Amino acid sequence: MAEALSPAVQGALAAHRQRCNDLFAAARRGADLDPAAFQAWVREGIAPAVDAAAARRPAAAGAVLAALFERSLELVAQRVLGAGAREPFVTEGWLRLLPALPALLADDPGALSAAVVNVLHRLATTEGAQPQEWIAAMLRAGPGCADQAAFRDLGLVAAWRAGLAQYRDEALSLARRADPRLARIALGLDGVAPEALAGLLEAAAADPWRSLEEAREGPWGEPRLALVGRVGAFSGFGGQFPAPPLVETRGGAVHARCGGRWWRLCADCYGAVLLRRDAAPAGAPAAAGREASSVDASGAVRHRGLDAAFQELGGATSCASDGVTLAATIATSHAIYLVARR
Amino acid sequence: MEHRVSEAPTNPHPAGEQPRFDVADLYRGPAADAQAGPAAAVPLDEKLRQAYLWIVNYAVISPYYDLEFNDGPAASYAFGDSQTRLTLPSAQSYSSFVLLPLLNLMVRRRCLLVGGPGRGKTASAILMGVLAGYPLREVKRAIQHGQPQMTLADLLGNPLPADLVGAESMEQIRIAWRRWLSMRVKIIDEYNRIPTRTQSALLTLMADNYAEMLDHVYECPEAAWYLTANDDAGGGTYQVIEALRDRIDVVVKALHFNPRFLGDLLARIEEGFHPEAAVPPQIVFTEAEIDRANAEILTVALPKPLRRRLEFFASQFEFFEGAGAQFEYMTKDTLKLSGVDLRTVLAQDTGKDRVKDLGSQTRNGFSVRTLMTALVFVKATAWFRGNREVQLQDLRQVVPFVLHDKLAPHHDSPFFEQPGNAVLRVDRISWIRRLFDLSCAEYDRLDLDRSDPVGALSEEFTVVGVTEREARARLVKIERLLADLAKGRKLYGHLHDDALKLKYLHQRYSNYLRWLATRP
Repeated sequence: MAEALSPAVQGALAAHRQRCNDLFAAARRGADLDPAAFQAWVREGIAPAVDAAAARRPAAAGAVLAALFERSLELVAQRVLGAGAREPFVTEGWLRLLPALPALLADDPGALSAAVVNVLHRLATTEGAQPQEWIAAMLRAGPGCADQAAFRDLGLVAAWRAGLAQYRDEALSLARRADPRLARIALGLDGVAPEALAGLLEAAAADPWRSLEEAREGPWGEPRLALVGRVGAFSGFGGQFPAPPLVETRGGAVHARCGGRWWRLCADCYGAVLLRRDAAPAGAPAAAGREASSVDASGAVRHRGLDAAFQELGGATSCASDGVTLAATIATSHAIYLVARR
Repeated sequence: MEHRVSEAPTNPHPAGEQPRFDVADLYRGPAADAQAGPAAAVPLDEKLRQAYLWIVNYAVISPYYDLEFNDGPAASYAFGDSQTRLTLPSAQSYSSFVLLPLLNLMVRRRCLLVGGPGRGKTASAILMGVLAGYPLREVKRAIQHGQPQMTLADLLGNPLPADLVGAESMEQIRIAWRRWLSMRVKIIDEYNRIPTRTQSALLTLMADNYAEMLDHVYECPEAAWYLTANDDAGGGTYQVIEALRDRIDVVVKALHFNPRFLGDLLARIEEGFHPEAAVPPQIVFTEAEIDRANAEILTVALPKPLRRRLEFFASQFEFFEGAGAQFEYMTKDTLKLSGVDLRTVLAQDTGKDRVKDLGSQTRNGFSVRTLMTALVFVKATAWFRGNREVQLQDLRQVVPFVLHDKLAPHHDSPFFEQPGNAVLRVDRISWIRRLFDLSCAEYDRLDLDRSDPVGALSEEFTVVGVTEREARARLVKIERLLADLAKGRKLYGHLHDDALKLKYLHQRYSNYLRWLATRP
């Protein structure tokens, strides 16, 4: 038998009964929503958050319930949240984070729930990203945030750390400006002294392929080229490309193209992302990046003054570099291979 | 509710500028988020389309597409003895009962919703109030329910009793104005049940946007008005005064309930669903957004060839040859002011083809205010459809709703006796649309897009820097054109207006020449 709802949740439900019923009725008209399943979600997904917010600020219970109810209807119907969700990390983040952040939740339940869901949805649908790392980071850093803005800033820093390379520059900039005590937690550097953070951030900023953890361990030895990652996959398996892509350098950035479509590559030691473009990037393609970079038919790579051979890149069909990362494609793969100096 | 609102473009147009990378995208996703920054804001026309789709999908069961738009050939099927055609529009089309009240909200005019009881007229008006950002309870409280005992005080407010006793002058009497006067959405339910005296006060409010009581004046904000009537053809308790009817800008009929949608109705009853209580916040407009939408609508261009078609259409109706001995007075207005019955004058047959003469179908012309209203609603329709320029089909679809109560049909016109036309005595929207089509056909027959000598002379008109010789040459052109026009045996409305325009130009050049002659 289900556990009884707390008086705070019962009171909030009673106060918003008509609106909640109307919202549910409207939602059912366009989506396959099971009343029993949604009731279970109210009990498991909404009630704990309402209880947490009410414990911090009793007057907020009604507003929190109304906002989370509406948000849940929207997301459960889209199968973003709840038992039938396509990406379980969104639900996990909701269930763990919202009750853990009662002050922020009571302040603006709509904004907090949207932020949590949207970041986790982006992470969960990005190849190679780590939504569970973001949840863990925000469980540690979130309770220290004074307001929604601080939560969002740290959320962006943690999202970069969890694999969203496109936010690298903004994340480094925010981490420098944020409270060092919270920033280091969001970056997974709990053991680092706050005063040491600035130096680590500078080291990471100087080389996208050097992680904060590596910077903490000290200087690297002799530089060498390494195969640092792969990005992209066959569209039939949920990837981007219907055929093996080609890469080009345009406007100083690496772009992939396939079937008349274009993507911009963002990559660093934490992740690699292909950002879809609606049209071809401006500017003529460059033969190579800012530094002489090449891959020959045998898989021999020259990049940033270093040479190396990679068997995987034999028969390369194209290569491009942004001056830091070399991207190469081969005829037999839908992935783009990434080479960088380590 | 947020997920009920369409996330895909509601009327997709070709993509414009390349979207730029924005870090705020991290907080955009399946959960709508007001804090995600201004880039997340949808254009206002898109927001209004979202509102439209939400209303037709969840709020008002109005499964009609009577405002038909096409972007290619449209299939149609003839039904019954009358061979009335059902058309399948090839472009996104709309229900007038939902779209026109929405447009009225944006352009802040006066919309009359007519139709039998229980067809959602008041519910639709309430939804407009909620979409304008008012809490449901406040909207409901602000509805003015027309009834035979409705007094001026019911409508406007009361003088404070203590002041009435103690005041020594009118200025000292304070008025407790009714709250609804300050609202930007005003709803008058069953306006044809309001007593005549109270209707006069309502007229002042609707026409001049202020209320007056005991020498005190209350200035109201600009508002969108919604009036409802079960029967607008005189079936109310009181006859609606003509001036009040004239202030109504657009008339929308609540169409019948199609029993094929009984399932939707049943589900609503079973679930106790109240759509007005479940309006998604992202389709609610702020006052500033409505102001901005209004400004955007006014910037929609009306191409000159379309303006000419509208001018040509409008010139068909006011002219009445038998009403004046002088050219300027040949109008239905002259006839109306004289009190002489139209039929008496019509007996003086001029031999004109009264079926072909569109003016013979109406008892009146329409006013400058009506033309202005038509222009505003036509622009609003184009804007709503995502266009920045009016199309002919915007005019064709929307003008009939603006002229619905403005153009009075002359039912004795032989036009209505023609086979298939009798029904147009009853179906006023289709009648006005037919008038517009016939006017366009005549416009095309006269080839006015390519050959419009009066238009050319109007465009040429200026007296700045014009030499005496040039002015005289233009006078000769005007006189020759008038002589040409006069050769036609019959006089029609558009010809009458053209001739008067030429007279105007002639006078301006003549006066200019006189001024040149007297110049030192």
